[in-house]
Amino acid sequence: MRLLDILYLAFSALRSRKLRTILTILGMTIGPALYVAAIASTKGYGESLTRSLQTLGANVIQIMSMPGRGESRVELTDKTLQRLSEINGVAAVVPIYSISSATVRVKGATVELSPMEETYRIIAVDLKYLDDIFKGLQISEGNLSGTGSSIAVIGAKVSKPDNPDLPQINLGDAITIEMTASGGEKRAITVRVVGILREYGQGLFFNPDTTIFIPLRAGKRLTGSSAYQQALVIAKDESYVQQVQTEITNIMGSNLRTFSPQQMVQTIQQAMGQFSTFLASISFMSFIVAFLAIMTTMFTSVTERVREIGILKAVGFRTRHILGLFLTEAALIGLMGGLLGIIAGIVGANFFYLPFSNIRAPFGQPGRGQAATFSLQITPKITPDLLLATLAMAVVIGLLAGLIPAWRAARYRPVEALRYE
Amino acid sequence: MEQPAIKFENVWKIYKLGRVEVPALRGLNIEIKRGEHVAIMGPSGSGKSTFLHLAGALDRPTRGRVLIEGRDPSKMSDEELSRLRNELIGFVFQTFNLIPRLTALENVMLPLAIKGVNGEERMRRAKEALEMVGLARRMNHRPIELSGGEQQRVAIARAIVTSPRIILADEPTGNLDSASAAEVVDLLTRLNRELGVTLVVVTHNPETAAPAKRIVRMRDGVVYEEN
Repeated sequence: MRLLDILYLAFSALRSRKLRTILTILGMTIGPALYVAAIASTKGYGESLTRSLQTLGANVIQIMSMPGRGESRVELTDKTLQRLSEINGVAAVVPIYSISSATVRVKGATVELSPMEETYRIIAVDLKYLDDIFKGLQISEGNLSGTGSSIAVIGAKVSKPDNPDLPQINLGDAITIEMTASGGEKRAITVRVVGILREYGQGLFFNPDTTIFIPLRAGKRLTGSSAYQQALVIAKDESYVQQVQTEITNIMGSNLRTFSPQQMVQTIQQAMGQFSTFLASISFMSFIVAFLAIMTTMFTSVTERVREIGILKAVGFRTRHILGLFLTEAALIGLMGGLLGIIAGIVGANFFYLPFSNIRAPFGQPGRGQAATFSLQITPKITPDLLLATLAMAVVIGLLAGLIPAWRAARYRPVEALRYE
Repeated sequence: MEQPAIKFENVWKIYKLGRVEVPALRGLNIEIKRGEHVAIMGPSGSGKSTFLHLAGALDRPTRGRVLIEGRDPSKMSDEELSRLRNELIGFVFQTFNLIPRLTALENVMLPLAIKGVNGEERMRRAKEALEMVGLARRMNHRPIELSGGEQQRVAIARAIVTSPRIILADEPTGNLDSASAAEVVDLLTRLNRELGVTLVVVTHNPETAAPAKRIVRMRDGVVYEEN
């Protein structure tokens, strides 16, 4: 007896009970479909997140001083930042003045900056760190290596604004920034545009496209304050981030809020992981239901074919041939259900992560109500390993479900089976 | 001395129906020589079907000794019994017992598949057997597309395809009209004569029994008359 003969007999038996076979196969598709979809989308999502993390700055921690009362307020002064820079694993601490209320005069136009309006924002930062904050940021005109404190580098949308009320700003133009410092004293500086950035899109911390970057010293002159609104702590590499973040909280207490893309990604991955575990457990339950469905079908099939079993034994089929025949039928149901399920799962994997594809950063620009939102480009990770493992699982479920019915079939004694009506 | 094809020595077969023991054979003694054509007759309940099942190694005796071509089934495992049936015996049943989803040709090839005969050889021998029963033209039909007589001829082709030494037929004409019955009886008789195969036909139809050289009558599990 050859495998091909058993396969042919099994297949023809399934074909002769088409409807029942199809229904059982359909019952078998749900488990594999959910499993493939859950695993492929979670893995794809995870990889996409990791990729995004690289561009967002996996090694950056944002720290902000939270509004507190009296003694509890932690000021981000040079002294504080000095302490932070001594933490093991920190490569640099980049202080930032973030100016959201000011008057900007440029090319005869006067633009009021306000937290509520989308005009410009002004960031005062040591310009050599721009590349660390925005990975892959490029200059389209001019350069970043300008000297002196009266210079500015502007984003693509500052240079060529979408808003028709805002002027076009070119290399060499002068920008005057005026603001009222906390004491009520008016301060003003004038900077000259030395660089225009390529369009970049939303970064996790700021959108550079609508930002006027000025040197840190210019920011200090403008605000007259020795305390920064925020700082970015750049870790030596991403493996230090968690440790550094914990250390900052230990030193500074909870009045200093820290945030890192890595932490955010971990949080999202955790949520996605739970979702995936949930789907996988539903898929396992579906496997169990399919197991019972196949077993029922096989028992019915055995009962209907007792006479056939008798005939086969009379012409010389051995116990193991009968066992093999019914096991093959059950395995074929598993295999076909598994194949269909895999196909359904591949299709389904493209939809499962949709609720997770938009990410909102917990906080964006301080003083501005908006949070940064990203859309992730996600491709489900469908690997041959996953498909083969799922298929194998479906076949094994079929085989296990067929075991007891096949054993019962094989044990019929020929005389009894032939007499069966 | 040549072994008889079938030999029963004081064979008892007792069925248990719940707690009641029902003896179907009560010390049956019979010997059928190789190449013989024997008809076993008797009313229902006389034990003739039980005799056939034991002679065909489908079952084992409760007591006594059955020898099929000198081999004792009661000393064999189920596996060995299957092999013995496959190699030595061809069955023909009252209800034909073809597998409905397989074509005539596939039904006939079935016993060869177990023997591991390769595809081409299997096909050739099955076609040969179908030709012998006059059904070569209908070999790709399923049982449902064949008449009762044709189905029984397919069953006979299946019985002879392995070149067995013994053909056991259990009421082979029981479900057939008289014309088909006559054809089937002729066919079986011819196989016995031309191939020298031992033929045992169990029947209560005198016409089916008529061509046999020896008619054995059974009653209450024993032979009570022979002629």
